[in-house]
Amino acid sequence: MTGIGGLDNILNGGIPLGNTVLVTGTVGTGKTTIGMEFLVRGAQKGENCAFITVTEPSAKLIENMRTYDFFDDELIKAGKLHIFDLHVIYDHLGLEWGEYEIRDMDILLGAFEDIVDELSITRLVIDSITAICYQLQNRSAIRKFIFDLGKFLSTFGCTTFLISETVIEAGVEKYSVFGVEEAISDGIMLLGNINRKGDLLRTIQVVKMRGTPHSRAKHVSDLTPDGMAIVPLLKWGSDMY
Amino acid sequence: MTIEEDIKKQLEKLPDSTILYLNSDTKNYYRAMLATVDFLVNKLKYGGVYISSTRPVSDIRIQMEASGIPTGDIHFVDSVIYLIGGESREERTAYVESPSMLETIMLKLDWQLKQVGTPEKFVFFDSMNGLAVYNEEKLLMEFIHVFSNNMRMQDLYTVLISVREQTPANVDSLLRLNCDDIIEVGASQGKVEEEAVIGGGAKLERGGT
Repeated sequence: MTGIGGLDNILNGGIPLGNTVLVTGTVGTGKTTIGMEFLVRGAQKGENCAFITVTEPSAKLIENMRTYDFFDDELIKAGKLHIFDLHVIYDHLGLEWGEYEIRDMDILLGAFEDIVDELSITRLVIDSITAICYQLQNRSAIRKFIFDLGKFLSTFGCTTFLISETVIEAGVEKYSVFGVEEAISDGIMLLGNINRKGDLLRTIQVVKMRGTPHSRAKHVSDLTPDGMAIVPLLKWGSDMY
Repeated sequence: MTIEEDIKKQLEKLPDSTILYLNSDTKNYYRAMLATVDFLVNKLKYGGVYISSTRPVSDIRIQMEASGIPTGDIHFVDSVIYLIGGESREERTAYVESPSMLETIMLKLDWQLKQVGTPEKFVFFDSMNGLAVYNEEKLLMEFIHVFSNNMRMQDLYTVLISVREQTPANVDSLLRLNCDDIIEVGASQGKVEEEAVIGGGAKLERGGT
């Protein structure tokens, strides 16, 4: 079970252990929050969890998360919830932020493996896979990195959220910027917005999840102090009938 | 007998939990609302959630307190204040940007219900005609269907109030079908009964389910 209200119902019990899930959407749809809540719920059950933040400093991330009642600093102090700043990892590895060679990415993957292995991490969030891939030189490097990442994650049986941005190409919404991210994913959760008469409703839809018979219907979500809450989208209120 | 006494007499006949359609004429709308909330809070000692798509919560709270209804055990969902650009700082209140965000209203209601401290709880939705201003009829009817069944599943004492003259016929028909009980307040549509002159009275009917 993810422990996130409503999501486990959609997933018919939760995410199968060890699945890699692409959590994708546009800005402001709650990707980071659902990622953190996923970890907090796991840590509250005694699991070891890790969040690798790429897009914002960990201090700022924690500060933002403190606005939610579900977030608990004690989980960090107790060593159940680890938050890593990718820039700090780079410093430790002697890497510089910029464009990376495949060799550099192997070093980074090795660091991720060490985190998961040495801390016995069972829930991992990388926020975002898109930002990491932007550091790579070309599509083949991106493909190799993503496949290597998927390989190691499946070996360790760690349930992982890869946070990603959606893009629109030729009027069609794609689940990831580089088109490779979904290939290694066991599941895809699409977060978005519906514009209803000028008001934006946050939505969540489980497009794919291997290993569980799940709902594929679009749902409306809300970020409450307790975390994400979810109800089915009213059919006559969807963007396309 | 005043309209308030008449409504309370009808409410006393109802079970401890029901889905009630409170159908009032324009003239007696606020009196019907206040009399019902007064019954729930002061007589039954229920706490609950009041959802407003008609007036800002600040106004409603003032009206309740002026009528002798303590609001300490009432939480609110306000979907009006953003429309008029007012302040959103009321205690125990969740705000929704617009009455067209029906699913968000349900989510805020769930959250507020968890905060209510009393063992027995009510939900008062003010109002169906207010929602009809901002929502397409089919969407509103779907919402009423989902909402009433959701409340029934949770065994909550639920009141859906609507102003008779401003309620679309299909919406009124669905409310009659989906609600367990109906209280008619004031003059019936299309005719002004003699009793309406002295307030209209209240009449109890059984719903369609």
